[in-house]
Amino acid sequence: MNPLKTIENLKLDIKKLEIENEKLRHENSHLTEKSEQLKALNIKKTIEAQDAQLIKYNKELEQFTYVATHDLKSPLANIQGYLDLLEIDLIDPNPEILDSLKWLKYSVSEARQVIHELTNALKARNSKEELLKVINLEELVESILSGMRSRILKSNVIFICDFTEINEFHYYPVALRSILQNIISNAIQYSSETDFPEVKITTFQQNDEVKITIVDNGVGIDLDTNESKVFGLFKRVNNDDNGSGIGMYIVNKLLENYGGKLELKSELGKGSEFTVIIPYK
Amino acid sequence: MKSVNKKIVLLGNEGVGKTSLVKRYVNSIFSDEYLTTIGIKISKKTVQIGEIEVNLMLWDIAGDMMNKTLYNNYLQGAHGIFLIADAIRPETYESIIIEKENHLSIDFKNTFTYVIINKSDLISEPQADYLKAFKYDYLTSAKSGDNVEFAFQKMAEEILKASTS
Repeated sequence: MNPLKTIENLKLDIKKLEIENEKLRHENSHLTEKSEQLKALNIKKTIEAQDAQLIKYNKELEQFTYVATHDLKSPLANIQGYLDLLEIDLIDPNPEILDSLKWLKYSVSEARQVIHELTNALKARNSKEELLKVINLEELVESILSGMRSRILKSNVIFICDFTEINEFHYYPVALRSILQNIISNAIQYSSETDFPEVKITTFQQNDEVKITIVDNGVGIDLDTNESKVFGLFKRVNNDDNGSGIGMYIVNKLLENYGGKLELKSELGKGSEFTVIIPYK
Repeated sequence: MKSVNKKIVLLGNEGVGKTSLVKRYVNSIFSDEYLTTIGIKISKKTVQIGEIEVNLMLWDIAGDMMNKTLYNNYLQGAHGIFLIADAIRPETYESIIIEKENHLSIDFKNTFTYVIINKSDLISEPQADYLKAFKYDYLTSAKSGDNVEFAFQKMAEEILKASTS
């Protein structure tokens, strides 16, 4: 056999193989591209399906909120009416009964106001700007505390409110009410049982931010072991059985949605400091 | 310009008009709607006295807190105390006088303490008579604004005079 011929043949074979290889590479790349397209298509379809599901859930939720707020109006109006009648019918009531009656009426009127605000928020859901209002923090906190008056009296917590640095700013009233209500409610719930329970609410303005700080001297949180639980849904810290594990999750979600953030410092046995930071408008 | 902070505490039974006096003085407003104060509310009013800017930090302390043993903590550092009574409820006057004699004149004897009889707009003829028996420094009306600015201004001047002399 001619060795030169053999080498030539081998070269030819290699050439053929290289061509085949190139073809295969090309086909492979084509197939990969097709596969990617298919994957993208599948993802798109999944997203579209999830989108449709979310829109459906959202509509149902919206409808539920409409129904709930609407259906609550009537019994509340009824309660208000009966309270008015009771006030007229009371013969020579003692001051304590009159005081309780006053707070009952106040609470009903606050509940009606919250429903009114919620309804407005629903109506303006597509335009956040419509919901942006001037907040008078002193009035808002006064209303929140008054709504919790019996709990505050029972817990003996002393509230100190200092809004001398900044009291008025633009934000979303429904959202801020819920944010502060949840933090204040927590502060009462986890107030110190043995010491002199105290909650300080103060405001600061720093550059383009408003900071609302709620400091308590309550039981505190061990952040080393519980930090991830604080803002989680249905998560409770300090092995607590009383909370629902929803409050702080709502606070965080509202701040995420309406713009803002929450900072937390805490020490077990010493208390907690929650700072709500929102843009100054 | 020199600026100083001075703490003024308002004490008195529930419903005598402490919050209304602060609101009248700081925001020039009055509301007939009555809501009991919960805890302590701090407000600020800046006044100019001579060359000095005085930031009056007004501590409006809920009426029910006078019964709490630890309420002394919140009086610490006060430069002035207003004891407020309701012109048409004599028992509120008796209550602040007891507070003044049994507590403030002992634990806070160096703090300027003035008695205000508020709600002068509601005083009728017979009430005007029994008011003569009361010893007070100012007769005010948060509703009409009568004497409110004057009482706070006088307190600020007294405090400043004492701190600069």
